[in-house]
Amino acid sequence: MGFARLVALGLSLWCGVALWAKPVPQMTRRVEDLAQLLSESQRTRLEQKLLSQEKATSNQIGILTIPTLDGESIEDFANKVANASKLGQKGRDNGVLIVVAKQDHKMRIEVGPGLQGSLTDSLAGQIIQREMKPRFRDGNYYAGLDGAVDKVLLAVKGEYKADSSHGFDGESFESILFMCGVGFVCLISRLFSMGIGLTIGTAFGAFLGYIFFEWEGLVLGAVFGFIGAFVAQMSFRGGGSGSGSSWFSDSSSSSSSSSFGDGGSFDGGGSSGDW
Amino acid sequence: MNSKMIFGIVVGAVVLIAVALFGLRASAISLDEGKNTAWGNYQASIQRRNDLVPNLVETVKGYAAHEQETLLAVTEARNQFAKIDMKGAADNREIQKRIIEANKQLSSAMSRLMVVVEKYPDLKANQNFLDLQRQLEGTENRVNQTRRLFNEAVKGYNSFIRTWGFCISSSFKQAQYFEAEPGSEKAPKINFGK
Repeated sequence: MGFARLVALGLSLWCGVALWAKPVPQMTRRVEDLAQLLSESQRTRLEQKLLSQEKATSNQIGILTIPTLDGESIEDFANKVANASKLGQKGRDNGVLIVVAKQDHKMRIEVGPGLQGSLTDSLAGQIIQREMKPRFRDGNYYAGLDGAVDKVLLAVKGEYKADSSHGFDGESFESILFMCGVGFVCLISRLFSMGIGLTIGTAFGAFLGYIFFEWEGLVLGAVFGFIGAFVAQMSFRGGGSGSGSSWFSDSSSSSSSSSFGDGGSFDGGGSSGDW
Repeated sequence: MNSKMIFGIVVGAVVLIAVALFGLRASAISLDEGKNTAWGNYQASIQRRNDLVPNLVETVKGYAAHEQETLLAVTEARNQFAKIDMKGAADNREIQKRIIEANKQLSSAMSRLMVVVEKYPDLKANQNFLDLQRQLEGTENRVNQTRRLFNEAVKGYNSFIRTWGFCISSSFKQAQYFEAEPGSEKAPKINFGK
């Protein structure tokens, strides 16, 4: 894992984002109940609802409950988490994040630009007032969230259809492809002399790095290509240490935060409320 | 290792350095563009907020016709924005200062209007007005969030330039943060006892 950390550090330096910036709560699943307002079966039921609509529409809706906002405004918090989680499809921005802060008695529905046409700020506000507020007051968190989800789904119905090509976890698939690509190129470079081999390795490493991870990946791809080609060259001449691609045990993606969504962004649309 | 191999390694290293420099420059450009896009989003959110003002003024006028002075002040404050040429504002401190000032004026005019609205319970209960209220809160939040996201983009861009400035063109200058004034991060809470 040590090498992977180094890779992650290098990548984050390219992006100019410090790895040690104040962390935003990570969402690891569609319904993240950090304030423990729901039973496990309630949480799973909600998550099922969200995941099945996601398959059909490509809209990514998430729910996050937290014990306390710690002085931060729920608007800032929700926008930060929503953007970090990247709910919604890149370009479409069709994500929604529902945030509930238990001790602050505040909630917010953060809506991505792609869905703001149908799930307007006003409608989001109404959903909070009518579905969440009265039930939260009675301590009925599951019913409140369930009702809100139903109304949200009703609002965004028909906005988007899922692409049929949607299947794997984009991130790790990209990493694997990248590793294979570089490994293959390094093996090919064995066929040539040192100078040409290194050039091929570097150039293709850069190319593959750019394809998969954009500009941040270009330089690191070049470095991997160079190193891999060098190892391939040296092992060809006798007494090598195995193929270069065994180095890439765990490369990380181009974003330094947990992007468990598909690249959607949020501009602060939606509505807040309290109970 | 013979000299041919050493020469080969040198060639490879030169290629690597050339690619690296290219990649760094491209990253800098990409971050700069990201910053400009973030500014564009901020400007769009300001525009969107300003576009709600005429509607607000009309709705209030329907119930509070004699509050001419306050209503006029809001319209005037909003019109100040049209006078600012926002071209290149993402990197222009002067234009940004003018925008901050115009925001401040509009904010205070709106606050005074909301104080006045308190006197008209029929207006406060009106569905149109309640809806407008939600829209205004929404756009004010967009203004805040897009401003914050712009500053984050500036931070990312500046960090990159500071770290790698020595090997990329000096035409990449540090960008300015869009300073909000203290207290203006909180939108005028048009809060009527939700």
